[in-house]
Amino acid sequence: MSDLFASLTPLFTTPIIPAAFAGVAWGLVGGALPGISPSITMALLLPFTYGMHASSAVVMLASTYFGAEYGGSIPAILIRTPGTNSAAATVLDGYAMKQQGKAGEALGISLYSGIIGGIFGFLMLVLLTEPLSRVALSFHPTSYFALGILGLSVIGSLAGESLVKGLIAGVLGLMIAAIGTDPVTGLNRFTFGSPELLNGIPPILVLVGLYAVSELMTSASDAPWEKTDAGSVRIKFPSRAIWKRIWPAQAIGGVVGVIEGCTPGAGGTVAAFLAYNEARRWSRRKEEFGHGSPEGIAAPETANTTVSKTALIPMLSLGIPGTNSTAVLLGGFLIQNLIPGPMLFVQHADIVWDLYLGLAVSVVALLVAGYVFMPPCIWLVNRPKSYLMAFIFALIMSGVYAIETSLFQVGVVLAFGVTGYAMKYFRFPFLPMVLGVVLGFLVESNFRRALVLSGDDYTTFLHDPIAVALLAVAGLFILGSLFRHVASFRPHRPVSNATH
Amino acid sequence: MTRDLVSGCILLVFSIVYYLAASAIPVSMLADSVGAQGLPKSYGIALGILSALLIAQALYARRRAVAVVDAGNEAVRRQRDKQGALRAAGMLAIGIGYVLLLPWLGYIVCLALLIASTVWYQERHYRHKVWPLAIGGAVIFWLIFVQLLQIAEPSGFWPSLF
Repeated sequence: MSDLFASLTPLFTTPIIPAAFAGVAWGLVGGALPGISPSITMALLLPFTYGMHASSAVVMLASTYFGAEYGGSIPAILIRTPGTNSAAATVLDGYAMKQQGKAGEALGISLYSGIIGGIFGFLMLVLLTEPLSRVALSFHPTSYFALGILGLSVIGSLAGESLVKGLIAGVLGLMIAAIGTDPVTGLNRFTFGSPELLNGIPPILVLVGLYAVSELMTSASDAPWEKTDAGSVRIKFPSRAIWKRIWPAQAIGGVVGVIEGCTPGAGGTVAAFLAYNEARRWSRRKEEFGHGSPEGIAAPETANTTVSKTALIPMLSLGIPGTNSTAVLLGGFLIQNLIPGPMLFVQHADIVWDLYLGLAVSVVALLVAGYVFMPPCIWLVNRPKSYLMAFIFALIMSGVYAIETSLFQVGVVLAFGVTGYAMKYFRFPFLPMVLGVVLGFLVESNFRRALVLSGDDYTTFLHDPIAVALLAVAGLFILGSLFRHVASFRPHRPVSNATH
Repeated sequence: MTRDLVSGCILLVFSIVYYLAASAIPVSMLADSVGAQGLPKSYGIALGILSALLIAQALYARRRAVAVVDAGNEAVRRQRDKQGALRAAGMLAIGIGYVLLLPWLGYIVCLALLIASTVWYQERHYRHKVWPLAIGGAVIFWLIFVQLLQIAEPSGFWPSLF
């Protein structure tokens, strides 16, 4: 019993509870705003985490991810506009229920499915992450290099419509990571005489620029936001009959969420649609799907909130972010000088434990914030887009300057905003670039360190069984991506992708 | 010219410039066998190969798609893209203006200008009521960042007047 109390001590000695509540509340509001994805919501928060306690910072960011995944369902149900991509599946039945005068019920199903997804995802995270990290003590530079290669090998899965474009984005990320002081010789590379570039470009600047600033630029070219009226709604606790009906859909959503969360590149959107499809397939009332079926809300909402927890499994245990949001979370770890991966569990086991506690608290926080923040979310959803964008812009400018009180860094963020806009225009994915930026230093420094230690013996990577295993998995990932790419390349496929 | 072809050509040129810049990195006496140039040069080569592949893919797809491309729609799309890029550039100009003016005009004034100009730009028409919102917003941000978080935001030339 005393052990249990001792393990819960961080809840009272570090501000984990307020961080979890603040993160969920911020995520809920950000997710509820159409066009502001969970990753953007998290990226906006990054500059504020600089001066924070490491545990609080990572708990707040992870809780934001969770809150944002639920928040996306609010406008999906009320105004038929998903706040996040993963809430798109919820629109189908959520808005139909609203039209039937059951908006409160729909929001209730969404909230409680989110909570169930959060609990299930959290349990899976705790169960699956720890075994993966047990090999940590045996890691050498060769293993770290192989781990970095494994991380980069998932680029193929994250590449989207074009494998070549994904690889190009990844190489560009590696090029950004090469800026600064050389890890072995100490020579300056690509700094152009600028002292601000000696330490390289912090991933936070890349993340904020790519995700947040580019979105602002894109929004300027979009049509102004239509004025909507979400009305006034109160969340209703699902009745017993509804619970009886939705639990199989929630179970399906949970299982799909675990699988997709662990799969790099899949994420909440794929999980939500897959869960929706499976729930419909197994439902006794298939015909109601699309016309206001409670299961049609429960399945995708359980799936995407489960993903918000299980996507942390590869990120924490291997340092591989499989989604945009976990990439931003990884940036938050790096700000605190924490490197996700096997050694995190050895060197910073306390932080990992705090994160677990914080994620558990975030589930309770969602229950509270779901009710408390519903009116402000509805109010915000009804605001003109121009006001929201102006305040987001002000937040970015103020937040980035606050990191090191450097206007140079604000300029760098704007430059990455332009890069992000160009990448969107030319349809290049962001995530491979972020992977390159985050993993570039790890790969290069450990590759060269391993060679120095072995006297330039390139076979040293084959003498380390962990490195061999990781490289073999990386090889499988690469082959799988190539196979998928070749399989999709048919002689008479539609030309729309190629002619943009 | 398709977007893939344009981006492929830009990236190919960039890869060459990058490779040359990587080759210009001096060799250290302390260098290992890979050296400071090693991986950057390989990144340049990889980008060059991938860009060439992208160009080849785009040319192949263009040859196949030429029969179904509607010239009228293509012109409309290009015009829309151009307008979109110009509007995005406007947002960037607001950001650059903020960076340039911040040391002179100070945080509150610059932030109020940033908020007002962004609202005006996004709405595409000017309204007087944007000013109370912009000034109120700037004061709230000043309270949070300068007073609460103790960030040393520039105060501009205003203190020299008093």
